[in-house]
Amino acid sequence: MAFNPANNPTPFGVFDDDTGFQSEADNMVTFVKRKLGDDILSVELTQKQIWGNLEESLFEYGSILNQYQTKSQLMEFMGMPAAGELDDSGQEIDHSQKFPRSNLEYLTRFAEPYAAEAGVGGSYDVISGSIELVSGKQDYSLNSDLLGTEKDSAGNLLPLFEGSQNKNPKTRLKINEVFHYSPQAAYRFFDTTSAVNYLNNEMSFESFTPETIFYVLPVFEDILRASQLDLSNRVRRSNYSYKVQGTSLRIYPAPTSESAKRIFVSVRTHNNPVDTGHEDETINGVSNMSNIPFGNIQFSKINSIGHQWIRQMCLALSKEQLGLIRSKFSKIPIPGQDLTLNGTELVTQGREDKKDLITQLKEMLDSMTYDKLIETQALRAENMQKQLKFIPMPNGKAVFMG
Amino acid sequence: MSRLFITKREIDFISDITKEVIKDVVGQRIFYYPVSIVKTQVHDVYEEAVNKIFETPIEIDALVEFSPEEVATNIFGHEEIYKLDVFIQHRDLLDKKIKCKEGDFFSYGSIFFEVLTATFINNVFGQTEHYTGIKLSGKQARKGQINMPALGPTSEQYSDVAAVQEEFVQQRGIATDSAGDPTGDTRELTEKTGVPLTGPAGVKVYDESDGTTDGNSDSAFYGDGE
Repeated sequence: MAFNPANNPTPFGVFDDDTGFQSEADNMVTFVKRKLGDDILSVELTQKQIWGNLEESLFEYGSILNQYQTKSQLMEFMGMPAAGELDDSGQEIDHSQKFPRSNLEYLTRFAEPYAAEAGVGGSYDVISGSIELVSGKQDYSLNSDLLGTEKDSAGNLLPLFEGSQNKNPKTRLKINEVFHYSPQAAYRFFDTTSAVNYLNNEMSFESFTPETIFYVLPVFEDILRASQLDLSNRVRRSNYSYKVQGTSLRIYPAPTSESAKRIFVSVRTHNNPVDTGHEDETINGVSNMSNIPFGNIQFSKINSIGHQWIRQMCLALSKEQLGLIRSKFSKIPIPGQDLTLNGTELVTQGREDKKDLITQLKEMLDSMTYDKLIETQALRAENMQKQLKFIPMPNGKAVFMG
Repeated sequence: MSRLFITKREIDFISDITKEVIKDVVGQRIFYYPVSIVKTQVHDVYEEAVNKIFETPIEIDALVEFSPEEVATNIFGHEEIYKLDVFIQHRDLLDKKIKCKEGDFFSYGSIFFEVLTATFINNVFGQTEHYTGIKLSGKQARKGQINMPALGPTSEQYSDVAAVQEEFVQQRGIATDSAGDPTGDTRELTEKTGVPLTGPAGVKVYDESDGTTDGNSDSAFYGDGE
């Protein structure tokens, strides 16, 4: 019986349609049976058992290879569509045996929290609410007095962290901004009648004045001057300020009936790391070895080096399998005596062969991870430099002293 | 061992291994001569048959436990008497529909034996319906009891063609041998694992039919020359 018309020739049937695998399977029966001595004495293995072993060998080879590719390429695929997802043509995504372009997604993702703390980027939620000021009351709880936009049945605004206004877990808040100042620096900045502004402008006019003098200033000059104006206001004028005390916000000065009725506060919360405020499909993408889209490697796409390993592994598996069959009984009763079969030895040999093959493959692949290749290249370059030192410089290409 | 672990498949496996040892490795055989009940005339008074008529001899693969001859001395001089124990696989007998019984005869080499006892030997892992085999205990037949030409191999001291077996060919569960004659050998596993890749192996232990005149004994081992 040939492999092709056979009914369910292998347990998983993953490679059954691969024509290269089909012809290899037929040849493997001859190879394995001959190696185990079937020409002389029976080898109690069926074709399907041998085909199953061939399939397992291919699985083993692909798995080990993909493990090492994962070592080399996981960073490139982090966040990309994971195993099991379909591509545009409806096929399951498979990036095994590909050489992807490198990227820094992994690095930038891990740098995001630091960038957020420094205020130069990152990914986090900022939510804002308001506090209704009460005359004479300076302290307001951020948990209960900071109100959002959602209302209860009576029409009252709910605290910011109640209802469905904030999906992030209740935890520490980081106050982002308290809108308790008038943007006075800006007013003064644009107030052309202000003497301070003139002073800050070294007694000249700027481009925003209605005058006819225009000149170009660097941006930092504007920023520095705005900071100077802010500082001036804080030091010299009556101070609108706040202070965080535990979970409360203390407002300065104490509100009076003439004060604004409401101040606005924006806060930052810890993001739910898997449910951010913005759309981010990469969260559900590749995260580790279990979902990197490395599929089974087809036999036809493996070179002769791999083919030979697979054949040897199939033989080792068959040897072990035959041993297990023959060692079911330690002795078989035959007429007049008992017969001892060589099952135990076959099992031992098969397992040793299998172990040796796996060790050999792993050692080879260990030396071929992308990190190791770079190391090897660097060493080669270094050694080349050393060798070049011994090559005499041709006349006219070097300066000779003495 | 319990029946939980020994099912029909295990029994078939054991049977096939046994057949392999007997038929494909050891290669010993006897020629069995059943007494024809129909053709033999039994004495009316003694209820014994002085002249026995035999059916066509049957070649049976067996394990033979050879014992040296016993020498008895009496008033007529010395007498050498051979005894032999032969073990035959039970299932092989069933396959070939052969029944061995006391009083029949068999030959091994050039000597004919009368079956004194034909007993079942141990059953397979305690299962009463499966016997490993039958043991035939034979005693050298007296002259005149059976007058048949001995079928070879007999001994290399003889010069007739079949005295030495020149070729041994396995059976491997294949229905017919290379000459197209039925082997009567059936094996359950052959149907599952397939026939041997190169057919039954054989060995020509003493082959001078290759046309060489070097005077040496040649051998072709397992189809090397093919």
